[in-house]
Amino acid sequence: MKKYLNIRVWFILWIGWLPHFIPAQVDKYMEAMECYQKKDFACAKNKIDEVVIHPDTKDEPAAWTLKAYVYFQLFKNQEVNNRYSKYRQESIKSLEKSESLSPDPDVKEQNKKLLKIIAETFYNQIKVFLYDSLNYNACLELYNNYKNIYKTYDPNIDFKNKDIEFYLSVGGQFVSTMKQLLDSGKDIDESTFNKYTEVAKVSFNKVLELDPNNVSAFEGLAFTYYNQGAHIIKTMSFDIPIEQIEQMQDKSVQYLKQALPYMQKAYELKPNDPKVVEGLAGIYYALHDNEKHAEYMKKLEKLKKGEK
Amino acid sequence: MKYFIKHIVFTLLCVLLFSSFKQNYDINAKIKAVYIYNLTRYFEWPESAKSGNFIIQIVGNANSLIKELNDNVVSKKTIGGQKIELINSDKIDKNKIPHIIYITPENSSKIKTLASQLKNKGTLLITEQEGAAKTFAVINFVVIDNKQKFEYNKQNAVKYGLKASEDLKQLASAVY
Repeated sequence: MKKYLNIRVWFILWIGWLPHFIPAQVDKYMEAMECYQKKDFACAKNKIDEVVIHPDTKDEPAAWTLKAYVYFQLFKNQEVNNRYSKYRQESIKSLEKSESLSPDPDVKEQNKKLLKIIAETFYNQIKVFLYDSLNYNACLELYNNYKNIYKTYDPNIDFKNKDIEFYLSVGGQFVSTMKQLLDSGKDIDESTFNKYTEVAKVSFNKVLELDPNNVSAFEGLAFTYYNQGAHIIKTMSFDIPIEQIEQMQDKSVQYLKQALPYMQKAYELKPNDPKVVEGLAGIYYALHDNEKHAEYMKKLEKLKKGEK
Repeated sequence: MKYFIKHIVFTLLCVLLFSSFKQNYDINAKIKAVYIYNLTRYFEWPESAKSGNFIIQIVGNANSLIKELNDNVVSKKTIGGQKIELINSDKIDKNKIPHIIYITPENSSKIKTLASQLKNKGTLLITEQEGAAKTFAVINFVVIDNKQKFEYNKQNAVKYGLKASEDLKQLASAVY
């Protein structure tokens, strides 16, 4: 009883007593709040769903805000990896509704807080679709959702660094997957491999648009072209006529030569980065340039020993 | 108002961390392996070499090439109906005269000695050393315009007891 009273007092302090609020609906609201605090979100949902449709309380911002929080918890508990979660959508809609009803500053602050958290759930889900299923379209959709919602939270936000982080992560994951495929003995599906390379190229080029001296993007593009060249040779049949071996090499060398200037640029920017030096050595090796390969391998050894 | 939201926020995706560029997959080894296997179509070995296993011997440290040949040739192909056997040794076993011997660039100093042991034995001698096609090799791998190609010495093929297809001349980057 004491707890109930405390909640009631707190509630009154929070939203202020509204004369048109009839006690029955206030009680229902209190029950919803109590269920929420007990983490019984199914119960909270049932109660708050009734509150927000009741004619006397349907225009109460705090009720919609509580609904948003309840639905958000249901999303967290039941649909955290579901990018089309209905609970999350309902939570967003409820926040919009609350905002449309001119809430007081306290409620507004709570709305804003939840909105930011919801935006971040979209960002967090990118990991699932990037690392587990390599689903680029899903990642892009989630990222755009994240940005759109975050803009509501903070209209002046500059997404440049977040964009760089997103596109580097996407490109990097696709390149890593290509490398794993090449290193494994498994046969590689041609169209899948091409799709991966396109995603990687688009992603790294986006980064360079935002940050023209981004070493990781240069490295990433070099890796991507290198992998394309390597893929041609890896998938070359042992039964190919000799005259066609040269044609396959022609195609492969084209890609390897495209990889080289990107890695050279990375080297220009970070000459003492072992990964970049190793990358250059690797490309020269694939291009059969033994002299250059040896030169950069020597430099790599020095770097590993701590010399420059 | 507190709604007790406990929410772990991942502010960062996995920042791009390329693993080492070092590729486990060696494309140059694959190209050589495909050449070595395909060259067998252009030679005919003496009758005495047409029974038993078809032996490919690698002289020197060439792990990637050996893996390519083991994974894609030894375990999957036959040559003229003969099973393929791969040997990695710098010595010639008199009981296992190789049908093909490939001498790595690092072991080029052994070309002369090995060549003298293989004369008229029905061995395709493949090297990777500048000028080797003019001296002891039948096939010498060279790099031209960033691509792996090969030079060919027909007379040496005859010296080692092999018959060669005339078509090979057109495929080689240089013929001696």
